[in-house]
Amino acid sequence: MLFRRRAAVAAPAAVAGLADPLTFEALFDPAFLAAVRPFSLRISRAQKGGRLAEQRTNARGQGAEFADFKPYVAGDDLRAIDWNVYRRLGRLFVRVFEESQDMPVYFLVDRSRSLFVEQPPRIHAAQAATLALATVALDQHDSVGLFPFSDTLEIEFRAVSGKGNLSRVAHSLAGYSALQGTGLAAALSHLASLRLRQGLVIVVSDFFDEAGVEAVVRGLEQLPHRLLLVQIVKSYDADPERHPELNGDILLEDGEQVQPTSVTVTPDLMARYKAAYRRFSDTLSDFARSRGAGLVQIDADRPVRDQLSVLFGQGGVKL
Amino acid sequence: MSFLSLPVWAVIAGAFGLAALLFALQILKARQKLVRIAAAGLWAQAARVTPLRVFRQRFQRWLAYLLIVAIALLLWFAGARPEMAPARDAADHIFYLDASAGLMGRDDLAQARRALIADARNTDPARRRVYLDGAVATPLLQPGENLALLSQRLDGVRARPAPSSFAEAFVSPELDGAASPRRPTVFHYYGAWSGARPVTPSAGRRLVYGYLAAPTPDNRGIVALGASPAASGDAGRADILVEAIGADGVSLPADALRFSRDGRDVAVETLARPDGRLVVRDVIADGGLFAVRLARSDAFPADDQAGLRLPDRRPVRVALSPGAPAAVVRAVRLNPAFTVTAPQDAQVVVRRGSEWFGEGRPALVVSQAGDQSAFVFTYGADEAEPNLAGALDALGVSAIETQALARFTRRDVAAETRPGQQRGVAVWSALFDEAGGFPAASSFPVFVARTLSWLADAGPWIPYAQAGTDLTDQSDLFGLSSDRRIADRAMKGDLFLNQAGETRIGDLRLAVALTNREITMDAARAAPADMVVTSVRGPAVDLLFILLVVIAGLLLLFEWRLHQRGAMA
Repeated sequence: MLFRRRAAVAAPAAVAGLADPLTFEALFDPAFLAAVRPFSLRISRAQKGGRLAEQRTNARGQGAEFADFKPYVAGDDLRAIDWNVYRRLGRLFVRVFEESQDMPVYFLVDRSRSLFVEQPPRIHAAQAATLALATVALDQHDSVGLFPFSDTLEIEFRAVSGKGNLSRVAHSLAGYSALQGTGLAAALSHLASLRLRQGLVIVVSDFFDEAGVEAVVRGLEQLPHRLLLVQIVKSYDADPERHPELNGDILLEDGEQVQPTSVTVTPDLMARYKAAYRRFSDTLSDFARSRGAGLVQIDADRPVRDQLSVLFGQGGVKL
Repeated sequence: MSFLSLPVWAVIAGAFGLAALLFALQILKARQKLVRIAAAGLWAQAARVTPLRVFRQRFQRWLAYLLIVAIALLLWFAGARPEMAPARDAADHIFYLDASAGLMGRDDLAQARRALIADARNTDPARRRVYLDGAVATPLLQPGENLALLSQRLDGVRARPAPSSFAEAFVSPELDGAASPRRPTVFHYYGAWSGARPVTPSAGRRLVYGYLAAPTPDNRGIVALGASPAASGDAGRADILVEAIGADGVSLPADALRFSRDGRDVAVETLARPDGRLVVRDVIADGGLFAVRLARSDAFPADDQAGLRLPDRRPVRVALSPGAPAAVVRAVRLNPAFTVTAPQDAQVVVRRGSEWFGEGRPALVVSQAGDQSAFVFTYGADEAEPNLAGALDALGVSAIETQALARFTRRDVAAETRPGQQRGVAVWSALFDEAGGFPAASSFPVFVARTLSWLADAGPWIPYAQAGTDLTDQSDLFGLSSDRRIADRAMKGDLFLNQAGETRIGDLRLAVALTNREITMDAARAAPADMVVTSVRGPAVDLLFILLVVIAGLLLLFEWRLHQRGAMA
């Protein structure tokens, strides 16, 4: 276990100096939204049972993509009978098509205090990335669900669709002030228990869960959905020498622990931290690789739009 | 072992205090800065592997604490300036630094200083005393005092342009009394050999030479500089006598010298006397500074220049009232030391008591013989009362003439003094009666001249001012009364000129010159063969202090290296 579980921790006292989230005006930037609209987000196959939309499903019915023949039975659409087959075989077969339906996209957005303690705070990048991906989903007629989490998972809304709901999503994101600690593993378990229609789960977080990244991975494995992990990072996470204050005797605080951690930064400690962070990163990336999930790192100190442009590359991401 | 200015118990107490202070500082952990970072959990995990340096856990690092304490204590002891006591000695040691003119050459004083410290370091502190040359030997280090004090006290010492006073100091109560009669005493001398040459130690005393100044074989110097009234008879001028000699004692020619007046070089005509001395004739005696220096200086600068403050013999401006006695008028007009002016320009006036003439100025008043004495001296409020007993003598009136005047006036001729706003002399008019004989006496012009000079407060005639001698006032020789400032000092026996340079007696400015033939010639000669430097020398530097500081520095580097390598916080 990478992180030690905290035993019987009282609710942390209010921490002064936490940053504010982006306001609606700052978040709902038309130029930013216009820049991400050309992108597309696809999964290999969505679960049938949804509305007609653009995602491929196992459902057979109306559609443009031919799927198979089946013997004609009473009630089938006569327009679907393949008369060429009938002439050759003397039996009636109808053509069946692959039905394109919508994809439910579930956003798990981290509202724990660790996203609010730095400058600029990671929550700003998390808000912008969430809104960008929601914009892509709504533009391609998929449904969007918002599940913010901290110590526990909240269900803000399960599924909204239509471009007109984009401002609703933005309004919700603009209200994401800091809550408590990071309980991502528990939130994932909660989400799995909801038995939602299979779709895409996008987790936007720093993944610094007190339960440890192994618990987070176990929680992710429980989900029957496709996964896209959006990891909000800073450059000094992997390279702590870049942080100007990480030297000497210091107290480290992420806003979530009861007591700050007193450390003396020595080369030895620095090396141990780097090793710990490398294990943390490797665990996440190994999981993503084995599960076929997407893993993208968004640097909170750089513009989100530029980083998403690199992610979407030729225009689309398929998971 | 002893420590500078702190007793041993204080040093030890301070050491314990330091250790306790460092212990408290470790316990009370320095203020840590708060860093907010999302990855604090990962840092905490890494720190759990590396022991956290909090509270008592700090003292799991005893070696680190001991290292810091060692550095602090080394610096503390070094700051306390420890001194290792040398072996006990049966004799007392008296060190004498003769910082007179003999040590003014090259870096003689610095070498003498180093030799003195090195020798004193190797001497039992309880048995050593150190004195500095001066009019009175000045103690620099008393028995038991730390040697570091000597070094500090010597920092401000400069060689003074004056003859050595070691011979006088050797038998003075300061040095002679400091020597114990029960133990042998060794006197250590640091100076020019000529300063110690006249000294002959008595039984139980031994004189050794710790440092003798190196000779300057080509030394030349000015050995005489003085002023006398101009032979031309011009009362406002003086003739200056100058003598400069080479290492062989032969007088130098005039072109080897440069002259200046009040800091500005001047070209003068000199007359070489048969004995080689030079005379500068008819120099205006206006109280200015006349200086002479060698055209080419040498390695012994003490005698390369000399200065003389010239007498101020500018004519006294005298105003004569219409009723002034004819004898006085005649004596004034015939004396070139006086010029007759209008009363508003006069320094001194001569008038009758009934006249309103030149009021507010010092005056020779001719009065009617009433109840007052024959001579009434009024002195200024800011000066001392004149010596009445010698007043008439100083004015040139002898006892014989006083008796003759008494017979003529049929009254007692006496003098009295009174305080007033300014100087004044009131004299019976009967004394200026031609019938009395006084105006015809040879002393009458002297009386008039000295009276008016006293009233004008004219400067004295100082023929020369030589360092190491008493000041000479020749005012009486040249028609002046003795200067009151010099007379006051003479009464106190305080006319000794300590060293060359500018000095003052009251408001009287003097230029004192070294002008000492023996010093100039001895500086050129090496010490006699029987005067050999004998040292008891230890190290000239404080090795213990340096050692402690170096060790502390090395430990500090070691700690820094450990810190850099992460082996120590």
